[in-house]
Amino acid sequence: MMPRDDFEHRLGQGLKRWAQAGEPTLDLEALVRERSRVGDATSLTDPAVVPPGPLPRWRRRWWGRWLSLSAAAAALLFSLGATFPTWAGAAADWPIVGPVVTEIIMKDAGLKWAYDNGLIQGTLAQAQVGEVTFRILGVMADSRRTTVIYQVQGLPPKAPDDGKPIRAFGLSRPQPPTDAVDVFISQVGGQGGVSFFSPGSETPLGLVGTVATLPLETEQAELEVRFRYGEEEVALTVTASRAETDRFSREVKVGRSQEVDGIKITLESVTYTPAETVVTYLVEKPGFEGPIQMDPDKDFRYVEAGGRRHRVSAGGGGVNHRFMDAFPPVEAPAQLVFPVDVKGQPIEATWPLTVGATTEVLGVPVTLDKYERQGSIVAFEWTNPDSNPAMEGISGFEVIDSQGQAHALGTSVAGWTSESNYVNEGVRRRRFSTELPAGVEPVAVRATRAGVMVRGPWVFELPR
Amino acid sequence: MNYFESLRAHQAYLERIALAMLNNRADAEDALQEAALAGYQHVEQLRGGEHAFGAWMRRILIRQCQRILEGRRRSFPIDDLTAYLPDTVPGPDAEATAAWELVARLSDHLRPVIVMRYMIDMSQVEIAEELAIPLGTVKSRLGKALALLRKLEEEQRSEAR
Repeated sequence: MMPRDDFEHRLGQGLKRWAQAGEPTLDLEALVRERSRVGDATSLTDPAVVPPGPLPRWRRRWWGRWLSLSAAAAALLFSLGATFPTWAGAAADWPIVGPVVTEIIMKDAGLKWAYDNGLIQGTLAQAQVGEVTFRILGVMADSRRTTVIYQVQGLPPKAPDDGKPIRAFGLSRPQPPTDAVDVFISQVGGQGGVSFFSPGSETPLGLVGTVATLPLETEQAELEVRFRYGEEEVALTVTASRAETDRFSREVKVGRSQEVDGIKITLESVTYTPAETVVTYLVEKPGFEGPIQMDPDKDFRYVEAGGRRHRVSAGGGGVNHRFMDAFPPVEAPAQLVFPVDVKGQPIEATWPLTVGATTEVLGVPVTLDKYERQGSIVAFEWTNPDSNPAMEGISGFEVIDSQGQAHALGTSVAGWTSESNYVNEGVRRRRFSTELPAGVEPVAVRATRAGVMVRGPWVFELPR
Repeated sequence: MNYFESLRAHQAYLERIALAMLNNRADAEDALQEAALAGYQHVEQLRGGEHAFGAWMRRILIRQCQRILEGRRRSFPIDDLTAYLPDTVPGPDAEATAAWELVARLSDHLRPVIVMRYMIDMSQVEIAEELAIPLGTVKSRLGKALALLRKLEEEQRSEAR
């Protein structure tokens, strides 16, 4: 590498001094706490409840920006003679304006393409219950998914948080807010659906977000979109069609498999669209339930084309171990690469409910470091030295009662689990909390699976 | 490690990096907030504890900045044009301020590679990986940017004479 000349040296030193001379201008902690809804399962580090305070600066600025754009859009529509519809239950011509909706669209390459090509145009259906209006702003169906953009207006102000999540060493029992709106989507007459719901953004236009389900199996289908709000449930029906998006897509069946150390990945098909390269693949392996810590710098799956590595731009979700990932558009020759995966390995490791109890798992001593019980809630923390890089933690938890009976813990028994699994400074910490099955008094806890990291890579040439 | 304490310790530097990458205070604030939120939600993925925190957050921040830059290439903001004008941000001395003012005049294509190379001291390979562009593109952008900066500095000197 060439040594830096005087100009480069001065530039570097000047820029470094400039960078070091800054002063913090944002209250990041308040902003992060507000946006991450402290107390839910995602806030694992510092679960203190945020006291109410003035709106953080970012939000004020954002509202200001939104209002200026809304005003401009409204003025433009007014000047064009457009009128805002009065809602009467039928579809109305509500234009998609405002940075919230466009931001949702622009963040998603497939949605953006559809929007640019006039496939997302206006309100498709709406219903009103009391003061609350539920509206479908757009539908987009393509080879990867079927996405609905929704809006809910007129929700009453949020009830104050009672601030009493149940906690055990930083893990919280999820407390679903009573004022939350859930949205589900399914194909009318279909087999039921899987909904990938993104909680909406709160905007001056109400709650705006997306909900997606699997791709349509026919060119056109009726979708039922159900909004659940408190005791209310509202269903709207809209038509979705893949006809236009399919016209610009090309699907190539592949059906090639590779197996490495008990993990078999089959690339089933590749679909080339103007906006994305979509790969559909099946992963067959002994399962490991629980979070896994991957190195974000080298363990990501990617498509390599023209000397560039493209990360996944959107995951379409997976059902029955079949996944769809979208990458930016690429042309063959290109390779799909999975560098690493994790499989489950059966174990039988039992700890009496005594802090400090140690059991060996795959040659690694794993210690029950913490145990806490609050009523029916139990929480465990295990630690172990990160001495076996292939060992990715433990899962498949059961409690043993005084009769020696095992009772599985987890989502099939209780409605929730809260867990984490990570390595910090050479020590793996595995935390797990959930609700005990009714009437069970545990005397021991057992793990039935260990996660084992398998380094591939699994490499597939993408077809032309 | 307390996430917010670590964040506070690095915040001023991160704010300047975001500002340098995006050359716009409003976008820099957005990027920093998104990065802080992402870091908070994924702090378990941090390896190496407190010592690695700064570099880890910087990487998250650069990715957020990169997203915003990509968005800028796709659409031009129409709502508040004044928010998108370059900011004048003084440094601790005249030479540092002058260095930034030169770099601030570079385009969104060229400025980030200069910031990553000379402000953060990333290698060309690291820049290529972070921006997901070929190494050759990094080299050519650096070459082009340096040539422009030299020319700008020369012009400033001529004007001052």
